[in-house]
Amino acid sequence: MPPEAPVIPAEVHEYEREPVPASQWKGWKSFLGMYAGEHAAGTEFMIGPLFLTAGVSAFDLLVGLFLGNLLAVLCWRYLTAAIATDVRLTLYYQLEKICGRRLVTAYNLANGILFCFLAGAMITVSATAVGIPFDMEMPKLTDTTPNGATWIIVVVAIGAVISVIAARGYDTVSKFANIASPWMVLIFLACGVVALKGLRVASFADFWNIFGEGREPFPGQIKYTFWHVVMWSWFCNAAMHIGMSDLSVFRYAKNASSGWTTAAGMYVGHYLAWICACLLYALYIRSGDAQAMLAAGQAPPVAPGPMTYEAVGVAGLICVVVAGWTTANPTIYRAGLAFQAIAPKLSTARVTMIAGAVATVAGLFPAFAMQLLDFVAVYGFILAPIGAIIVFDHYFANGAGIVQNYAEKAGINFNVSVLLAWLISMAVFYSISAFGGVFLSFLTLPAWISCGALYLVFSRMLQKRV
Amino acid sequence: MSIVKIISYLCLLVVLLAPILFFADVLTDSQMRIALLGGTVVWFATASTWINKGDNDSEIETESAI
Repeated sequence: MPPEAPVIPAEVHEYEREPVPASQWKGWKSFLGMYAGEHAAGTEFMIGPLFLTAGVSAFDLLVGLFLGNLLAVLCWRYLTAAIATDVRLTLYYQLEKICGRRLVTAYNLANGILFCFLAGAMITVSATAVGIPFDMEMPKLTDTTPNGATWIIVVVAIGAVISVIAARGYDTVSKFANIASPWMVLIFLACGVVALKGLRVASFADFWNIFGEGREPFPGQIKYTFWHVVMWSWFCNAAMHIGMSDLSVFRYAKNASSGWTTAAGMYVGHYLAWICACLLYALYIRSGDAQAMLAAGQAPPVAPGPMTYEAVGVAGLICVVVAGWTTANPTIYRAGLAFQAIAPKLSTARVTMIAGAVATVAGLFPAFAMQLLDFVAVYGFILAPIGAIIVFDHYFANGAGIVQNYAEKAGINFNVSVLLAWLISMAVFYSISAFGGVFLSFLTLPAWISCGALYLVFSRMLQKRV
Repeated sequence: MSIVKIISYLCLLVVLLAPILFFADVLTDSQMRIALLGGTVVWFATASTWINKGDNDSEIETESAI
């Protein structure tokens, strides 16, 4: 990569270092289908059931998810899309203007590593489907390490295929994902409807009573209340909305109202799909095997492959594999690009294979998928505060008397104010969570606000006249 | 609208209706599974011929979503 090239060969291929021209702006319809498809991913098969293992009640699940998703949509509309249509730059270029290239590289490293773990969880999900013909033992909810040779072989095989395809570029997979999206949503719905029949639901009251007033969490899980569900669902995509990743998307929008289209992703993927997957697990835990495990004080496994196969047959298995594959693939590719920013001499294919190898190793350990609620909370918590830097710089720089886009104007590669604000916010609030036992998603917003405020304070103290 | 496109949409309709008809006891479990698999196979076979043609939205891609 030549020195003049962008530090981040980002996820978009045009206008990486210039505002998107008006001729390329797109109407809201361009974003609607994209968001509906992007958020019906392999991980939805895990997240729905994991809510049930956390003992949620019907009200917590139905109303909590509705509210959490609404708050996420509002963040996309009034923060991400609003700033994106003002500046029309990628996240990375906007960050570079504020933080300098070197600090963006550090952000990218964090992003790349987290992407690998996320892709690993998606490989785990696919493995639960691919392993069925081999009579593979499914990982238990409390498993952290591989449970046998078959598991290792299946995961390595899936990881290798995904990595090789990703290394060849993901255009084909992206096109395949476009084809799969509408069908995948309908398979999620089919799983939910079939599960309702299995659960003998004949009225809304029957449906409500599946979850009722909630229950004790399964062994090894924590209890989720209404506010846990709200905050978790609000911030599971925090990196994209308050973390400003989707600046890169909405810079193409004709106006900020296109931000409302994220509701399609939230209410199809993060409401309908989660509830359908939750119903599948509710059906499974009524089986004799699951009841026996619960009676023995063990948590029944969350294995999307067997659950969907039991409900809707081979089509369900295909859905689990496709959902995992189509989302793991671009994730590995983007992780590779993130690593390439740090080692620009390595080819894209090679860094993608390295990212794929890391993801495959992560996929061997079921903990990433089985503790997905915790991992996703960490993912949002780490990346979201960087978005606060952009928001506070955009709206409050003049009021605070600091220079906007300071790194660009001062010609520096490393803005210390940003690093201090990010690290101090993360360290303080993560410590509160780790040592005070506070649910991490409750602290994402305080960490975000703190990061933005500290950025203003440090910038005021450290900025030099430009 | 071409015949292939109509067949694709009909397949989606099959995938939508099969579980509903199973819920209503119109289809048996095995009939529902066959309908879902058939709809799936024909959807992928037909949709692949038209769904990525002529759209220019592929240049907008999100980060890896959860």
